[in-house]
Amino acid sequence: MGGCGWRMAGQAFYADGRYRIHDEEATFRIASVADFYKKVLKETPIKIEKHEKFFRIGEQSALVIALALLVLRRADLTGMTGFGSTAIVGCGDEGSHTGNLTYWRDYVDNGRVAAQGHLFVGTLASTPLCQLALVLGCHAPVFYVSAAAGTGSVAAEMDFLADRCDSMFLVESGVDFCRCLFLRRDDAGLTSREAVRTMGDAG
Amino acid sequence: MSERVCIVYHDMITVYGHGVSRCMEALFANRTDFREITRFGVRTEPPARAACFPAELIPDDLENPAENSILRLLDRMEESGPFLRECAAAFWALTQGEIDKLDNAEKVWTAKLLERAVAKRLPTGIDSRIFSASCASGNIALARAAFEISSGRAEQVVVLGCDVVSEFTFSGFSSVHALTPTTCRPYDSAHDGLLLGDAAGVMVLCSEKKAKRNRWPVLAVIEGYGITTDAYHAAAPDPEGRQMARAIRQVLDRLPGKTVAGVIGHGTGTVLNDDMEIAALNEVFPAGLPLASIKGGTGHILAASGLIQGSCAIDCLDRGQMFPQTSLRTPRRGAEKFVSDRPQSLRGDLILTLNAGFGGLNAVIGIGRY
Repeated sequence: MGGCGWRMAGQAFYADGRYRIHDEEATFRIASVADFYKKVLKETPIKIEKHEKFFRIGEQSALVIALALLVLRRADLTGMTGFGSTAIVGCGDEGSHTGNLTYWRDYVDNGRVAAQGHLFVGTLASTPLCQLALVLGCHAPVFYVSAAAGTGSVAAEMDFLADRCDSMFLVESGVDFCRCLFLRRDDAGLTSREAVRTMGDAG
Repeated sequence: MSERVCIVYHDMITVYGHGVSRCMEALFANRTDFREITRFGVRTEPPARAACFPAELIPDDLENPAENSILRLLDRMEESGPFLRECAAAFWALTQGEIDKLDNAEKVWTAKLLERAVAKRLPTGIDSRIFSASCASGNIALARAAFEISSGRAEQVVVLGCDVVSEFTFSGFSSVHALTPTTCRPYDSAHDGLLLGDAAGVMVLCSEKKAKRNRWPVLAVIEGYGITTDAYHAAAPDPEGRQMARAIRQVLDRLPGKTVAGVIGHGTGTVLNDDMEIAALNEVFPAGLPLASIKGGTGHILAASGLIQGSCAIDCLDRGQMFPQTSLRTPRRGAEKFVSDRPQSLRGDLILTLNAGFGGLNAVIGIGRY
């Protein structure tokens, strides 16, 4: 399994209303997730394939997309012609809990007769990842995994995807936090376990 | 794949009852058991129907139907042999799990609650993971488990999947106008939506060495898998099925010389899904081949789809026949070379089972004879 090399190309974090890009000292406060999302989309040099308006995708998806675009602004994208071979893996324990509550409250508030359809789309743990895939045109595997904590858990997913993508986003997000990492395949790079340990140091 | 991935145990609970044979007998008999939903209040006229578990097995007023169905599967597995206790990993295919516990005090995702509730029945220290990729969860969990075996990371993995009809999912699919007021007719010219269903499935995968060592009969093998993403729309598939076709080719490209006998499609009965699959299949198999969807009988069983379809594929390979398409009257344009209201003979090495999920997630598993 040691032949599956990876290179950390960038990462960014968001928590408590502030974001930070890895290897930069400064943290930046955002006025609102909506403003943050719109600003990052407007200013990114990355080609946007498709994107939804903020009100349709919700805060969790917006944060994932905004952080991913910030990571790419600083990442070494040499040799990349697009994101068609980029995989996206979501991880953590949060799943779709926040999206489920949002949908259910809307349904109950409407007398348990009907709910807004776009809120139901947000009740899947994979939805923020699919929204990011839409923005960048990612056609490699996209899924969410909730595994016991530990270096081996994410590394196993990286090994699984090693021959099915040339880069990947690892995303952990919840109601008020988000962490997004971008990794590129590099046969001379770190093994998945080593790469995951590097992520821990950076975090 | 290096190490051969053997399927040594499988079981399911569906609307047709407990066991693979009950489901297959019903599908081959073109029988549907959709009934009025009584698990929660439904304000539709006529009353909405679904393929819920048989009441004598999992009563409608029973709390935790998902947990109870999984525990029943584990009970029978333990009676059948030591399949569970030697598993190194338990891979779950879930979307919502115990969704009726959404307002739990711990504020935990309900899929996680189901995993926790069943954890005490699994071997201590087992590597438990939930794979959640909308309705493609089942095939993605199977693919991951197959990788675990083929790469030599584990000798034996149990894969579990479950989704049940709830007010949450029923209202949600209603809100996106995916439900049919009539009957679910996958690949039919009059298809107009899906009906939901309850299902729980389990499969045990192990290496060929392990199967031989334990003298376990090998039911079938996982020959390969393909996973792609449409990146087309958050809730609608690419109508041309380009990434589904690519996922199918990912399986075929790694199996030179093998021929596909038939396809168990995702076939939800919605216009968007079925037309996408028909486009993809015409692209890859222009001459046609036997195709059927279980969902005309089982209803749409969401994250459990991959496991139940996989079990049906094993049975079809044994019989040498694809089951007839439930409730089919006139095939949708483009599907004439694929579906039939009668059993179709299978000639070839493997069956492909297709999953397509919200967000444009495609996952294909190739299941072959041992």
